[in-house]
Amino acid sequence: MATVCRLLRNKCNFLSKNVMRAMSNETRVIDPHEEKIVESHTERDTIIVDRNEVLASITGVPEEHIKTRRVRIYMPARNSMQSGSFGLNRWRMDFDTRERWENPLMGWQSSGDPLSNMHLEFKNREDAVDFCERNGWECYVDEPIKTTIKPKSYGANFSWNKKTRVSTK
Amino acid sequence: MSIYLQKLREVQQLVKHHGGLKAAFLTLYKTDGLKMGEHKGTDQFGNRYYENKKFFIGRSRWVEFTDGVGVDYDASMIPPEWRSWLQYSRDETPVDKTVAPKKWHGPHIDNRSGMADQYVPYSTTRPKIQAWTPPRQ
Amino acid sequence: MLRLWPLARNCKATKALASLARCSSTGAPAKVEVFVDDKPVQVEPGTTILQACAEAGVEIPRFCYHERLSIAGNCRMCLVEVEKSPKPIASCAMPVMKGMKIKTDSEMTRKAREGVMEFLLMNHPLDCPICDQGGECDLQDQSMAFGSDRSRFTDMEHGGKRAVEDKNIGPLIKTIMTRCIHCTRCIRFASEVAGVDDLGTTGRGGDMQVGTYVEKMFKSELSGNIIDLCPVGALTAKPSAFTARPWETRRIDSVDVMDALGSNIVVNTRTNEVLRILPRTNDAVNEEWISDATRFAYDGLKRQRLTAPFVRNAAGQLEQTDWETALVKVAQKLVQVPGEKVAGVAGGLVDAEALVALKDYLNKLGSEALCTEEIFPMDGAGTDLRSNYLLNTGIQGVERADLILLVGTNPRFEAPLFNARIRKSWINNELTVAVVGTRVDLTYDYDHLGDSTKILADIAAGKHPFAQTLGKAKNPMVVVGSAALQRKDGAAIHRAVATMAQNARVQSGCGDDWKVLNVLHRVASQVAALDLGYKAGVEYIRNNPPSVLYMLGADEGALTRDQLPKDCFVIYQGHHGDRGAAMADVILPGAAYTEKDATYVNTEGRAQYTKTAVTPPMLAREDWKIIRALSEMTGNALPYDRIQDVRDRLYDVSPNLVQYGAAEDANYFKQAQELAAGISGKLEEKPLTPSLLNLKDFYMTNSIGRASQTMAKCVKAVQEMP
Repeated sequence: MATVCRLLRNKCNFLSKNVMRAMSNETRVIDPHEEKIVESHTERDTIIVDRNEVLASITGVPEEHIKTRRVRIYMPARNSMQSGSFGLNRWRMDFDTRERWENPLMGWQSSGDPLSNMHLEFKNREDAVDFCERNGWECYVDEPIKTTIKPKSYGANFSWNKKTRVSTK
Repeated sequence: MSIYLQKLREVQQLVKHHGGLKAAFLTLYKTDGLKMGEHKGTDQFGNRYYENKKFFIGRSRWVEFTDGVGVDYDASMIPPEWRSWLQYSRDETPVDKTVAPKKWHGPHIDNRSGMADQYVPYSTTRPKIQAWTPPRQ
Repeated sequence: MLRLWPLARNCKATKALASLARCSSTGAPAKVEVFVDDKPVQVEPGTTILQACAEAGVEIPRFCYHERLSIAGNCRMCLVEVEKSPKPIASCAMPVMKGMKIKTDSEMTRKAREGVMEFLLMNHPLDCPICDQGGECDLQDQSMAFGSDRSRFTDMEHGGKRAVEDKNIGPLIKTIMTRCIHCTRCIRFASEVAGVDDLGTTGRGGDMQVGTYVEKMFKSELSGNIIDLCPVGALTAKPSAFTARPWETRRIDSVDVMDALGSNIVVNTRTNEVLRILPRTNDAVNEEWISDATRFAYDGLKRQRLTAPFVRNAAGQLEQTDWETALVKVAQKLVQVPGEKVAGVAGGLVDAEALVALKDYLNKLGSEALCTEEIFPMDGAGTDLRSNYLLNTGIQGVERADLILLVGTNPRFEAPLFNARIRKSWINNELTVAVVGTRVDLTYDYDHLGDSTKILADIAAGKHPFAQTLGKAKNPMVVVGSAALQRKDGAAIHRAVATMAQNARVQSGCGDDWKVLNVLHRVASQVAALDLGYKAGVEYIRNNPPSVLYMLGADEGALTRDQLPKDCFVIYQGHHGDRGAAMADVILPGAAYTEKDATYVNTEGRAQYTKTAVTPPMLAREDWKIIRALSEMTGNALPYDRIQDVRDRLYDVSPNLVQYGAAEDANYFKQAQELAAGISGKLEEKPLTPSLLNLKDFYMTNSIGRASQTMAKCVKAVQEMP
């Protein structure tokens, strides 16, 4: 699916869109006002940035944290302690957990992993995958588990011939 | 000319005060200076304490460490009662006015860092994982 | 009020026509169009307003409503305004009607919510700073979002706030009943899902109390779920009380290994410790629940751990050492003995990566003696056909079944969530359940056919009246517990069950897609081990005494020291000091399921993975890496260096092992049946008795559970509390 999307996107590689992507963060909503300005540009005064340019060599991230890290891209599950569902339809990326050790003096936990606290959210999976690819991180996508909710009725509590009848309260 | 003679005499006195040319050179080597002063006392470790009020405050009291340590001395070898005199916290030396020993006073121990019996910090937190110990047979 | 709806519809005749036209154009079964904040939504008839709003992407605040429980409608937080209705309507209980105009953010709705919030907070203590729910409390969040910005509660001198005595309902659930807002979610969970009608309310109005009436323990294997359900801090977890705030914890999605279902969990960690385990919604496996062993056995991960390698010295004592010494010792031994004298046994908590690494390594050494501790009959098709040892219908398949026959199993304790699924289907879908085996409390009614194996033979031969019932069922399921297959006559039982399943399949005409035969395993590693070609049961090792035995997490005592030759060199690799470690000559400390990236395949053949949540303690390392290091030492290095390489190898052996989330189905019942015809074994007279009969047996079924203090407290409480 991801590759199809990417192919399609490469097909309709409008210049303006390209510039927009290069300029704007992928997770940001594109301001229509801004778009208008960009569309007035011509091909000559824009720099074309390839979508799949690997930025790993210039991001300044140590090589060890590019080559050895795996990224999981997923949609967070609802916290079962709460019923709210805010922020669940975004894609998150998490790095693998690295070694932590105990500080010998105080017993606190130390970690040598600067990426462990980095949580980025994306609007869709393709953006997240692209981001990881551009940064040189190996990534894998977890399909979200869909739940289907069947219609329920209050009357079932009082049905006379079904086991759904409520006994206690 | 007389000034030079006076200086020479002072040097002579200094050397004499420090017990000969060899001892004076040794002191110079150890303390980077030769000073003359009144010997106020000696602590239990053998460190000698001097005072010469001709010097301004800050340089008028000093210590010559016991000969046993050679050049391997540091400030933590000075016991607290002498240290307080040395740093002008007290006017009287412990010889002039003894410090009443308190119940909680412990023996003075100098800084042991770098020695075999140095202090090593350790975790006071309980271990998070309780390890298995094999059954004794 | 109801009579207003037709009027409303007439007024909007044009709209209604438009909606009808839309329905017919999509061709879907007649859907109802409603308007949520003027946005049209098509929903199934019978849907509640709350569900319709959810469809439209509008979330209605709620306390008592829960997707997986029946509707109570008593918290009133979900009140919304509906056009032409004089009063706000409780959206969780009200079914939608055509053309309804729901206003979820109108002045009236907001005022209603604020009023309800005020009433709830009037009798709710302001102890959020010392409440364990603080930070993930529905009441806290919703009072911030919908409540008033000031209090009108001034009655401090006379009535004051309501105060309720705390109840003691066992060692797992801490109750602070003053915080209770009477949503009755816990009561509904207990009576509907757990099937233990222990909780209820006493008193009315301001005197209403939720509790057990007389002090007693909430004796259920699913009791921990009421902690999650409680929207406030009235029910919190006792073992993890006051340990951390929810916003301080790291949450790592993982999979459980306490039973063979592979419940989806979220491991909450802080300071490299597992602080609690919560369920993660997965309709195909555990819905939204987890069992108490899954939820609370995590403290076993901190006790009795193997944190360093051990080597047995000349005096016969196990002595702590470093990795190099231990690995050199093992390697020297392995080099000395001929390859075929090396054997391996895998326990119940081992992941697929370690299994494949051990198998590849021993095969390289020249040994084929790789067994699992758990027995499965190898006669006939045995484990060659996947459909023979899977829960083929799937856990979700229970909801489509209309008849289940349980053979020699007690799913309530062997797989609590599978039992919860059966109960759900029994309530909602009129599922009929029959049992062959010892009579146990399954939380639902069933036909007890007897506990003799003769009944199985009769049903298989069509002589028993139940054979007809099975044949008439549309979607029958036959579930045989792996405990029944541990017996000497396991092969004969499996054959009888397979025969009756195949007969039922033919007779009922359920089609090729519906599978009848199901095996319910008890341990997490079994399906992966069988997929990888391990021999089920240690019979092979008993018959071919090895010189070196490699025990990979084998703790259930299938092989004891006196069954092995005197000079047999035993290597134990695992995470807990238990039976296996005690009899070993060298111990290599491995990682537990929260400490490694590992693959587990559940009883329905669904591959899922755990993720590293915390670091393995001290010198312990990931299991496949240990075997990889050992293989390097003996000079036949395994060809994988990274976890991805191991998974590629898994893919080569059996692709389903790395197709995460999907249950690869198998469908060779006819062939299996033909091969099984040659099995000669006789059924024994012994009655069919599951291994776990009572709640006290449930808590300590593996080395983690046995090390856990919480589980020990549970066992004690179950025996001592009323």
